Amino acid sequence: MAGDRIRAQRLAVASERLLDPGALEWARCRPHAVPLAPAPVVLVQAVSPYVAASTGHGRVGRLEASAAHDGAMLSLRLVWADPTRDDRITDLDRFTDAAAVMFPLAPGATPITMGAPGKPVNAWLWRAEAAEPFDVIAEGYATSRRRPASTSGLTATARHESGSWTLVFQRPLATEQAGCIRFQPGSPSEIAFAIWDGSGRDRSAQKAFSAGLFTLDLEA
Amino acid sequence: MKEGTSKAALAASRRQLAAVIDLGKCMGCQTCVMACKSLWTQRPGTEHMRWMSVATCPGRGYPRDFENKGGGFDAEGRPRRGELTTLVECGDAFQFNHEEVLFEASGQQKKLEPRSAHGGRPEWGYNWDEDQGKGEWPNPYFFYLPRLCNHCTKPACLDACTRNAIHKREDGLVVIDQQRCAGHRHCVEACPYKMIAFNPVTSTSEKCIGCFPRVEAGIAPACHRQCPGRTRAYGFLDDEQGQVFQLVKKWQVALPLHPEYGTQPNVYYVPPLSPFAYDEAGNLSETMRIPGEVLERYFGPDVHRALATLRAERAKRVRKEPSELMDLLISRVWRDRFGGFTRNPV
Repeated sequence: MAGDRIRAQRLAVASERLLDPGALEWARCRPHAVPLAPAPVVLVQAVSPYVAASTGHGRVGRLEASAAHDGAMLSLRLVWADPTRDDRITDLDRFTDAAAVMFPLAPGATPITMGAPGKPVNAWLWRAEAAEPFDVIAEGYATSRRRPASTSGLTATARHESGSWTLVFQRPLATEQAGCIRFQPGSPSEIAFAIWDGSGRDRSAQKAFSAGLFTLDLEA
Repeated sequence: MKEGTSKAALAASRRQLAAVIDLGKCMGCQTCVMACKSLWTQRPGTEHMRWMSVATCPGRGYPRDFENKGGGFDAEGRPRRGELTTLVECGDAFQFNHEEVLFEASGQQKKLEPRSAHGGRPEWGYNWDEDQGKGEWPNPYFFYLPRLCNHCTKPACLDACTRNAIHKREDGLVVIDQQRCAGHRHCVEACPYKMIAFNPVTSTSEKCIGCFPRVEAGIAPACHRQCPGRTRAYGFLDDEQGQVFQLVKKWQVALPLHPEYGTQPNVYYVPPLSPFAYDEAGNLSETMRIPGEVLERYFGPDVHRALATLRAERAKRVRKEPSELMDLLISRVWRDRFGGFTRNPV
């Protein structure tokens, strides 16, 4: 997957507009296809032998990612097919849809293991049943901490229509908060993607994952 | 709670708190259930939860059919895949038409009716098969099985948690850190006893906390302390003066439930002796009404030895001879039962 690039266009559009998943302005951004595959749960053997032995997760096979910025705010739009809208926990054995993007904060921080000790990753996690997204920091499996969206000024809106979710994340390019990715127009960042399908009982490491890192280019 | 701690460190404890429940004395009064419910699970999202439950055996159990839902470890110690429980299996959370009956209707027009949390008539509820049991007249049989978290020595829930939110305390109690828990429910799947319940309001999994705030103050857990039948013994498993040690280790009449699940549970049961069965001629036989193989299915093959010991010791008392074991099970002084955890909760 190395070399795959997602271009965040500089758009002179109010960021509030782009927070609307259906905003027409998104048509000005070229969507990039991101293939997804079931996350290799065998990697979590040391953390959960139960999950490591599980099968059948991560049925969502692809998503489309678009990005834009206005010099101050990054907007990231994900679209993926999911025939069932799972945004409420209707029974004790039911799960909700979710999506996340992850950014390595150190060289060699691997998203698939959620980083490693001393090699943190930052993630934005949207859960269909939650009022706000979470700003996550992790240094390896089982270490993730969910921080409130206000930590970095993260917002998210999502819409489920015609068998597809459309989700927009927004966050200011700059932040002083520790453990939060900082963006700079003209310099690239790395990004990975994950989708959880509630109807498929996806959760934790049981998810669909982009096999590798994409480069996120913020137009200068 | 440390993050990223190894599973071995999370599962380590210095001692082990344990309990013994004498099924020969449990009368299914549900006082333990109410003691627990009123203390711990009266919050939003816990309506269906019973950290302490009493079900009739043989029966479908609580949560319903928990014995057919997998989890725990196989004979080689490998994780066994498990299933989740549903709201109905956990006893539902009935709503009643109190307003309609008490204030809106006149006379006998409306009757009090439960409604399932899913709407409609309930299809199952807590204790739905109470006292049904098994066996044909004149030899029907059943016994009550009180259950709570076993605070296992090898907790499958702890092994399963991808967020390392579950750990064993120094005293052996297994607890879920509600701040770390993300409600993934791998613990619910892994617990073969299905003693972990999901709270859909907080989106976290909850379980018996062993009444640790009481225990830290020297007070036995509410379910044990409130039992009016003196069925419960409580304390550290290695306290040789305590009744738990004496019943589990010395007399070996208290056995874990489903030891084949491989988690080394720390709630032990004195299996029930039952009345003699009638034979085909209608005369009392020497056979117990609850068949030995039925009890073996719950408590493993050691149950036959435990029952033989109980019978032999009871026979001593019938002959007016002393029996240390019968004295232990009778417990004339309630304080003797609680391994020093006898302070007054009030």
